[in-house]
Amino acid sequence: MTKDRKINSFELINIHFKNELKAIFTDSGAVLILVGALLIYPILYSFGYFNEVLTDLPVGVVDLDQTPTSRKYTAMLDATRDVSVAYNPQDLTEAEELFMANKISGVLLIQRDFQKNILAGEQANVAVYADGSYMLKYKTFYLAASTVNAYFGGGVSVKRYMAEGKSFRQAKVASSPFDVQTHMLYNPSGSYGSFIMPGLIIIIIQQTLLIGIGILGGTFSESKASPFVLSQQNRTKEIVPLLFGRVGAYILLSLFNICLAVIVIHHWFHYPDKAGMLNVLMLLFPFLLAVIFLGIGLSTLFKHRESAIVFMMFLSPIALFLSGISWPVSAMPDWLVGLSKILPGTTAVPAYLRLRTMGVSLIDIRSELFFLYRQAGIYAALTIGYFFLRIYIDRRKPSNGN
Amino acid sequence: MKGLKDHPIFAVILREVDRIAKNPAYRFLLFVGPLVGILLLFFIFHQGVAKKLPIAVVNQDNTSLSIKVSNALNASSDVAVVRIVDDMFQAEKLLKKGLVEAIVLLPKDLQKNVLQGVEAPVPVYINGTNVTVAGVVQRSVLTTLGTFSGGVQLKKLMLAGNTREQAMARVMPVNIQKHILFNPYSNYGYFLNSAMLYFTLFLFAFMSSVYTFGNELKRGTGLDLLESGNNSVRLAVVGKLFPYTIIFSGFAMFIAFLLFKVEGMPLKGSFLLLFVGQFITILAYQMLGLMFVAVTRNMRLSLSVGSAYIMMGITFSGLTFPIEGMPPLVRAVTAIFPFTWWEKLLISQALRGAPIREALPYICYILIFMLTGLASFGIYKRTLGDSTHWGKS
Repeated sequence: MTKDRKINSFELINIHFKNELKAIFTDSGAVLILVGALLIYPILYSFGYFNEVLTDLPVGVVDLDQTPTSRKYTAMLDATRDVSVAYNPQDLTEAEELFMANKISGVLLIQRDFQKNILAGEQANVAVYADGSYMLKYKTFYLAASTVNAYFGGGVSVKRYMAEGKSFRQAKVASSPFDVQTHMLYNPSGSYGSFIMPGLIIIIIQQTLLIGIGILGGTFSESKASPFVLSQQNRTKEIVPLLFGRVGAYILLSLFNICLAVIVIHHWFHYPDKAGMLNVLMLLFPFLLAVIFLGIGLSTLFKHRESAIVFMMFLSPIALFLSGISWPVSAMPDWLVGLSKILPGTTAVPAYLRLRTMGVSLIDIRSELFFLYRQAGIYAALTIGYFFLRIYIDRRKPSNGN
Repeated sequence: MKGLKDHPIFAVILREVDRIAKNPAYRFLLFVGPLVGILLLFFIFHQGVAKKLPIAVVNQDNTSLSIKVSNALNASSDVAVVRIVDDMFQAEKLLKKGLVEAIVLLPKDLQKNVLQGVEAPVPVYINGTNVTVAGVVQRSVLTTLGTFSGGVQLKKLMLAGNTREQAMARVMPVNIQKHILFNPYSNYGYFLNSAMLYFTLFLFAFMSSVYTFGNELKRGTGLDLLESGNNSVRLAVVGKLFPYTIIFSGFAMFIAFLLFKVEGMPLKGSFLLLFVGQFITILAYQMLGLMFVAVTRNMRLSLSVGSAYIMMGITFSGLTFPIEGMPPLVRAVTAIFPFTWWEKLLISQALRGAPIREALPYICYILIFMLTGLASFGIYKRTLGDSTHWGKS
């Protein structure tokens, strides 16, 4: 306390920066969450989604027609990447048994007279029974069946036109007046890992920072020490350097995490990476600032080391859904969308995905960038305000007058 | 004569109730946390299906046909045409800003080419970043364009003298009938919501168990606990968990009410099995909590390592990506989470109405997880009396 007058703000920042780093690295629990989690979660999750797409989903075909044409239809289905015809049950009852025994995930029924109808120029019938209780399986099977049906039907239609004397090209145009050409941009194979992991990593960074900072805040409350080094009458000058020092420590730590989770993991698992690293950092910087200020603000509420885990862990999956990955934001009520903006990840994830997966420029994520800076500013102001208030209250307590 | 009321288990239960009343963290884990978590998730998925997804149409043709196509796209159930622009450049900007999910390009001379029977390409560009959204957009746009194209073909065939049936058989040689089993509304909400609501409950069951068992170590109150329980660790554990098990079972019923009554999720199988299932899964998570505390002898470490393990249960339960699609080694790993088996039980009983014999193995697997806790009773008892572990958080 005697060095009050000689210390300048930069030295104060330096002191708090070092103190915070020391506090983090002497606390195994905090290291586990702030550093270890970023090592473990992304790698394990990536293995979960390693295959990226569902291939060769086993289905059954009930062929009541048993003709070369119906067998060709079955073969076409079997040849798709998505499904494989694993069983040929005699009837629907047998198919249902296979289904209930989890041997197959869907059934295609080819009606009697399939070949006869095709040859006679009448409409033939097939029926698809897809398992709606697992959405990805249902989607995969149904899409494969519709695609096969369209190709098969197209072939039949073209042949009929040609039988009427049209050339192949004329027949093709006649059977599909619109030539719809689908271009799936940015994630052409529709792979699941590439879709969910980049956003998930950002949410993990947010949640581990919030919880990790909370643990250290709780440790501090438990130790009942004062975070300030200056004597009481000079403390108001110390608030900003204190925050700068702390934020600096977490930014440094996050840079390490970014190297690992945002660069190395993407490289190992071949996740989309269309953005320049500078642009990614330009987005992550205000995001990290907002998260860290929010974390420091929240950490003042925790009285015990474990409180941060107790109070915030359950929010992690919720934060993921609120960011719009895996469940569209447009399907949520407006008040919830508004509330979800409290978490910086809600704003950062969609912008990050556009940057990284779609390869847009910074101009296209301008509004999100500004929002994050504003958010960081508001959280910083609230935290500074809180410290001022605390010093003011401390001063009024006669017992603390030193 | 000693009445039933004097049984030491009541002493432990009363002691626990007193602790709950005095510590806000307990109250959060027991009441506020689960309630907030459940309600937030409920409202996230409440609407069940996504509202119309925004797409842009680039209309370079500006004929009656191109306007009809654009109107038809707008009228479809899953997408809405929010912008009609003249050039691709503008549309691309909208896509990059995230304002539209797809672009349908109606090129110049579309109507002329279609009428003359010349090739008329209609390119569709879909933002594939979000697989779920892209799937809905793709299905909706392709269906609408396909129907429109079929309509044109039908008209031409009928003009050429075919009957309606003949023309239909040409347009669509094989009619495909779609039956979605077990989830007729193809509602992704049911699926995610049911899993996530129960997951949140199990997470709290686990964390409260770690917290209450860990706190005895942190505060060095282990001997006092054993004393209240007449020096029996079994009575101490059962008595401590009793209030939690009761309250979390109440929450489980609340979730069942929200899902099956409010949301109208189908319940085709036996509710009794689900009831038993949710009860033993809560117990299994509580026992896992005890095991983590007994093994690590450290509350905070149990909380952080334990909740990491619980969280991974979501990914490895096959909820988002089916287990069948995972590499063999990962498929084996999915078995070490009780949630995986609970999820299979829930889907098979609620949505599929599977026979009871399918559910029994799942229930047995969940019971096995309870053994982990039972096996750690002895270690926990030793730790409780050992002052070297006190005060560590």
